[in-house]
Amino acid sequence: MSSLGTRARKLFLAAFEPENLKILLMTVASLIGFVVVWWLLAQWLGLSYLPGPDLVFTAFVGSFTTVDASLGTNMLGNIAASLQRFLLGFGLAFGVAVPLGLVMGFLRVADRIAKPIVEIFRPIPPIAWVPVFLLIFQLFWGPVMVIFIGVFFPLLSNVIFGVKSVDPTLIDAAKTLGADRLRLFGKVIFPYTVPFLMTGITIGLGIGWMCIVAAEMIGAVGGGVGYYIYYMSMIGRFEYMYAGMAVIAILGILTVGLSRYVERVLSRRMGMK
Amino acid sequence: MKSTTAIAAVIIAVIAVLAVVAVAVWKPAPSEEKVIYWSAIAPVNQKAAIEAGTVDGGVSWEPYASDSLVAGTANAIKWSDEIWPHHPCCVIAVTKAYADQPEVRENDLIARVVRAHIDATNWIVETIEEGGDNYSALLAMGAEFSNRTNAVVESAIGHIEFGYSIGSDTKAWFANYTSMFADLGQITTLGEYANVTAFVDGIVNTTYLDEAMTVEPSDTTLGTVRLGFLLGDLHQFARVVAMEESLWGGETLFEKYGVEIASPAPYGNGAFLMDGFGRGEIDVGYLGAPPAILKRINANIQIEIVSLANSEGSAIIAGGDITTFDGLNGKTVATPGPGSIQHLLLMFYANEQGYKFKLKGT
Repeated sequence: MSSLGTRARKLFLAAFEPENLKILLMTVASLIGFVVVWWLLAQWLGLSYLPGPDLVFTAFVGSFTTVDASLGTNMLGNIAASLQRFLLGFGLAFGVAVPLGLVMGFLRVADRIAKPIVEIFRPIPPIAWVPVFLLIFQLFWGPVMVIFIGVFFPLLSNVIFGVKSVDPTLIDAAKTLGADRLRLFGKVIFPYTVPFLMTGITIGLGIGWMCIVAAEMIGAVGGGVGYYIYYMSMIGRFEYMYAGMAVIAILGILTVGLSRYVERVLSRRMGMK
Repeated sequence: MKSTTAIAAVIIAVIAVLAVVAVAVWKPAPSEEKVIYWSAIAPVNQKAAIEAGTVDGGVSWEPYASDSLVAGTANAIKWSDEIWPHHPCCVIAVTKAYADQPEVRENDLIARVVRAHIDATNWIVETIEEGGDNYSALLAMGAEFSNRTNAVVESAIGHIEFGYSIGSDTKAWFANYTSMFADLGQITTLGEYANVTAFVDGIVNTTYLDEAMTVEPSDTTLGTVRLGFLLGDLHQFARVVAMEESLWGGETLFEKYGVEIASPAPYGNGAFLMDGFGRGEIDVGYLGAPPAILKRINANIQIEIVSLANSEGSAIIAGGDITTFDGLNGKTVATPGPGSIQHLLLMFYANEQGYKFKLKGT
């Protein structure tokens, strides 16, 4: 407890070191500048679809405190629905892409068999799958699979790249020391791939949130932030639409930030950095 | 040790995913309450969604309801005329900015567009009554426009009331829709209008309907109108008929009245068409009254409703063995979304029949 307190104190004090203070001030100035420019543009243009930050902030708060009569839920309910399908889509992508990427990177024959199929499907944008996934996987799993597609390919690419980037001298050394293929995979290749995997996760998380509106545009069970954005744009409540977009941004920042933190910790613990 | 850390991380991730899957597949015990669940699926996708069992039923405009019925993949539960007799649906709207242009006013361009719409509507109504070759041509036109079969078009037009006049009853329906949106919290202000009646009086302008009856055909082109419409929507059949040159001596009905039509690609729904008004892409448009009302208020898109296009013409349908509304108890019905007339219709009827009306998954 005391060590945690000490670390927190250290972090707090570190923020006031000259270099960090400079970064902090520039970040704050950048955000304030953005809000001021936004406000000025909103005032100057007077467009219904560009409400000012004050209106969006009020809508943001209102979306949490008020239950939408059509959707029967508030923003917390929408976040829960989106998080559920996001985690499922991401989890499935993780569960398929990581083993497949490891095998494709490690075994040349697997790479040659799987690569043509992967290359056919990789360029297809996730939104193109929305109607057909709704029919194949139905209301609940359809949107989940859209996120799966969005996350799967960047994750797969990074894992394959990680396996193929293993320093050949490490492999030679392991073989010289008598490691068989399984031990080579478990002791050298997989650990070496983890930082690449984490980079893939970070990229996949970002793309996953980008897919959420497409995934939830039709038939989203229990609503969702993506559906909320679409619905509000359909009825012209643009301040609420922007509030939904802000929620996606916050969720994206939080999940990507968490992923980067885990990436740093893992890399440090595994001696990669 | 290092690889152990990595493997432990993967195991934790897998356990987390399994936990989420468990939460996802867990289903609460069925409730005793009477409830109809809804899910937003565009009418064009509802037939396939019902066939695939994604949803148990749908509510949509024509030709999409008839598309399922003629294919035998769904049963008609209630036509909209059985729930709301003579309820207005699609309208013609015009931007005030365009209507106020001096050359538009001087040449009566809006009245001329409305006149072409009136003539086309009268032709449709007479053709449906009389049958014959014109009726076959009407079905063929509808089939080509909606990309459906003649049988689907025939079923569809049998349930649509084509019209143009806006009377006090029509305005009362617009007020009713507006009040329903207010009750749902989709609109929270009427802007400069004191009440719903004043708002409806403000957005409905029937002067062009009166002027339309006085305009004469013109040998010269008096102006161009950018006319928006919805993809394959048979509620807006009058526009299709008015554009059919073979019916009107080698020119469109709009051209007969001196108006050149320049239409962008069709819009997917009324909300998108209203956005087209907002971006200045179109001057006049065929769309459902609800999106016109919603975006006139919420997005402050300055339009006026100048003519009716149709009444009725929507249906609640159900797949499988479901043949009654009670058969949909606890089931999921696709709607075009909460801003549509079909959504309001289903919500109204469900509530009237003693059902709760809830978003699927809530």
